[in-house]
Amino acid sequence: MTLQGRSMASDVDAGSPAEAAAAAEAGAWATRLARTFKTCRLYDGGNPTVVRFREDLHSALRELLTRHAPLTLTVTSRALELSGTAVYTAGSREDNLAAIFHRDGIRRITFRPEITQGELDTLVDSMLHVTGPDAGDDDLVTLLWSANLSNIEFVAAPLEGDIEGGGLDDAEGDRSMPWPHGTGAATASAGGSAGGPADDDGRPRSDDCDTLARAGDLDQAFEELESTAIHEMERLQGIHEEELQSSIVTRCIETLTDCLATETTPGDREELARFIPRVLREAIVTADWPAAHTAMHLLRQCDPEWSSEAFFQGLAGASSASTVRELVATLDRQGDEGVEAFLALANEFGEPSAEWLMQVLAESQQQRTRRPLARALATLVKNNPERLLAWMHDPRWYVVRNLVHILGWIGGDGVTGYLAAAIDHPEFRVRREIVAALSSASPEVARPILMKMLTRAEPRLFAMIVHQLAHFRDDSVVRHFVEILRGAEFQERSDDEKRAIYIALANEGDDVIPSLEQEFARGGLFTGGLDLHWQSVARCLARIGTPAAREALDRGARSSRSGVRKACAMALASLQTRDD
Amino acid sequence: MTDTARPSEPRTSDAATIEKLVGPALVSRFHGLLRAARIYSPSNQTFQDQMWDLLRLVDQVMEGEVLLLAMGQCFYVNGVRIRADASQAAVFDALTVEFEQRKLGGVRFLEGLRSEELAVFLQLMLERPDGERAADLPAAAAAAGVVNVAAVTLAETESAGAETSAADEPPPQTERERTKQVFRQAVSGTRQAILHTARTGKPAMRRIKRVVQPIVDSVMKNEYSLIGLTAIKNHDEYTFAHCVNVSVLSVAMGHQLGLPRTTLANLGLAALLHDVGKLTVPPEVLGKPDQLSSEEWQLMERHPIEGVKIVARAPGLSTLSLDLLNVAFQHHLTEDGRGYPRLGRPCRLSAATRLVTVADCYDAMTAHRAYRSRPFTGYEALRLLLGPDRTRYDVAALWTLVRTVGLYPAGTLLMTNSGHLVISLSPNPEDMRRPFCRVLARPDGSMPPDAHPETWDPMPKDMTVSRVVSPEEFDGEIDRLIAA
Repeated sequence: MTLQGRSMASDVDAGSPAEAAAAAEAGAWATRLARTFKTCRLYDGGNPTVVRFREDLHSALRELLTRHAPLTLTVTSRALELSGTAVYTAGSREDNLAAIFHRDGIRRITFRPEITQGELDTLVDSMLHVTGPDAGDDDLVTLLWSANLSNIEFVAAPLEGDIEGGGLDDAEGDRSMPWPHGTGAATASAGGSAGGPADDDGRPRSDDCDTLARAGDLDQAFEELESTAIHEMERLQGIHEEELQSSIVTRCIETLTDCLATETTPGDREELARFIPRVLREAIVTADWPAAHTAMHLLRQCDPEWSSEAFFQGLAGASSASTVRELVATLDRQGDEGVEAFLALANEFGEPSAEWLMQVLAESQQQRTRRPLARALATLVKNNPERLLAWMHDPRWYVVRNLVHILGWIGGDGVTGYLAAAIDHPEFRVRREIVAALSSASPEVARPILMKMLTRAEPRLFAMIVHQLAHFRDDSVVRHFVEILRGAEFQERSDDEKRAIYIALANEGDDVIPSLEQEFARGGLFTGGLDLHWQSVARCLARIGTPAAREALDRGARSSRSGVRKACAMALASLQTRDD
Repeated sequence: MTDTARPSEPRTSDAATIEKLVGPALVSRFHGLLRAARIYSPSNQTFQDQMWDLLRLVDQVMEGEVLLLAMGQCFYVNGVRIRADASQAAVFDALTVEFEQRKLGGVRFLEGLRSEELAVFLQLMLERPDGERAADLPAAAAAAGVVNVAAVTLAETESAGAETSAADEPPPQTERERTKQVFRQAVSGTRQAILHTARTGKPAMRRIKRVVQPIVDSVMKNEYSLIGLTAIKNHDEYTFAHCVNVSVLSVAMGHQLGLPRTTLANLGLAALLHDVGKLTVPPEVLGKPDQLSSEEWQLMERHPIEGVKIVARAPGLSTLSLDLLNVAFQHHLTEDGRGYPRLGRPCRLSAATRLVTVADCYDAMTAHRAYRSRPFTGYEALRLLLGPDRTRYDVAALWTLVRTVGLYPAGTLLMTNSGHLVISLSPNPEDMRRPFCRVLARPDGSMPPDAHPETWDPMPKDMTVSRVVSPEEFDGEIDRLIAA
């Protein structure tokens, strides 16, 4: 919504010059209020422009109030008026500052000279709140009333919502009301004594309030009460204070427990089962695990068929990042014991709580919290890892890494398809986690994925993949390593990559000796720069160390290429040393 | 609707849905359709589309009829005030003008409305652009066979409008007038809120909050002024005045206890809704003057649970929710678990419950009952509440009640040692035994004229109350004297 509006004071005869000046200034300020409102709507509260607009709005009002205080603006549906002069009129149906006040019943608003920045901010924030997407149930009048601002007064028309009794006519409406009716009174003749009206003896009656039978001496009772009043008042105040100290959730559970201890019907319990999730939610977001546990049991008492699926969907959907962060902070404060209680609760809820746990995991910064959380998640979704797959597309790399980690924990061939879907993730740490997670899969399933990753892997990941592939001891893998070794670009690879290939081949035994030996013939007439390669190949052969490998080295030691000879001689020497 | 060729939305009577979604759309669509009818023939596709949209919206909120009313600067759909956002203000204004020009209050759509009828009705309406010509709109519509859509005349909305116009009534000049206005508006607002709750099954929280706020302000400003009005029992709408009374008394008692403003507001709200569960008890049981059968009593005993169910439908979970739940559930229970609903074990009563229970009993005792010749006076009710059975109530709550209504509550007739017959108007916090009074008769038998009442602010120190006079001994209208 844009709120430019129009200052009208210049267009309207505002009486005396002083009144005209006041109207003009008030109009300018109202326009400024509209602009500030718009700016605050566009940017968040910490934005420097917002801060400046708010400060300017306050200083402009203070200045205005030095000349015209108090400033009382009358609100109509499309205008703000000062002493009958429109100082602001809505520019269009979308530019209507007055409507924000008017629609909730505010008819006059008065600003006093001592108005503080905080008070004016509260007004603007309340306007933003009631016109925002999460307006809630409180209107502008209630918000301002609750804020109890000393220097902003307003007059509001009562909310007269249900004309015609909301669908019931007067007679019908009153007839069905449960409270005593004035018109039906005193049908009996006035024959009561001075001690009180005549009353039938029988009980019970439709009047459910106890009419006590025994009257006392009021003077005496007054004196007795007065003598203990201070003490008793302190006691009741203490009860109230105690209530304020205890959490809403705890007290609510207490009342619900009492309620369910009475003779409730299935219908009652069904109705309460619709309310208790709110208590459960509050218990969870405030990290009150024992209360959450009790709430869950109450819920199941009310509705044995209750499924936590919808509850956790709602919880995950409705929780803002800040709520989750707050919970994580509490969880971190609670330490191992808190985490344990949290996870025990999650376990009771079962798989549906997985989404929520993922949210918590995503915000958690502490290893000691993250680790058990991930472990618990792995257990929860073990049979249904698909339910977490949406997180694979989370823009936060560490969230994807968490998920990959969990999938790795679940292990087996069932998760490899999900892991394969993320092998092109831009973040190295995610891909590294995928390689680690694939270690639990069978070679047949993991190998193609790792081979695919190997072709695109950066040096630090390349070595890791090679190392993992080497464990599979598979011919196709060996062939692939040899291909890499023979590749034209092999010499361009980093030392780490090359080392990984050499080590992998050295671990393969006699099968690769011919391929390694062929490397001594590499390079043709111009063999510059291959000395180090030959040395590495010779070391590989030495590491294989079998007679066939020694023979290959011996042949190399007799090579016409001095680099090869030297490399093989060194390798043989190291073998000799090892033998000795 | 008989035109069912197009898909319809599920029906709703939910006030919030009407207020925020269907209502604004219905107002906008009706206005749009009126404009389209000026330009296009009824067979035009644009017109048809708009008409279908309107019919769909009407069908969504159909409860036998759909009443679209323009009153003041607001629109109401089925009695629910529609909240227009700023972008709709111009449309609302324009439709208001359309109605005003024709001296119409709105339009009534009935079940079975057909698109052809609606098209004819709009045409008839457009052919009558002013009040004079629109006067025969009902007759013309009937002649054209239009029966399921009708214009609502301004006269028809006047009775309902009387309430809404009270919203913008001029500010009262004196403190006393202000207090009366607060009380009057509280009763009116409570009436609407309770009826809304009866209709929807959900407490109208926004509305009830707005009812309680002026009560809290008034009590905090001048505690005793509003209390005096709770003593009036022949109120036209005592049904709702009782709720207000309990709320006012509870807030004042909480104020005595030193509770902060927002806590008082929650307390007042919980007090206003403490008996809301009785909405589910059949009226014939509620109004039965004789003893109730055990089945009927069982129904009565369920009202706290029913109350819990209703207040639990209010959104959110806050200290307010908790106060509402506690008071609705506990207000007939004692700490040792007696009372109902049968709990059979001790119960920790909330501070709010303790206050509301006492306020409720006091106001109920002083109210008319069909099986009682007259209500107890405030003084008599206090004698019973503070009598030997007072242990069932919280002593501090009883003390706050005494501090609130006084030792001689408003309306108590007193004979002084000087021989004056006076009526107590409000308590004197400095000396509970010497209230603020109005002299009804002097020792010589003369009476101050109504036009120039003689008041004691408070009763002079050299006088004491020698006797409390029973209402039977007095031939005057006590309620009128209190209200004056």
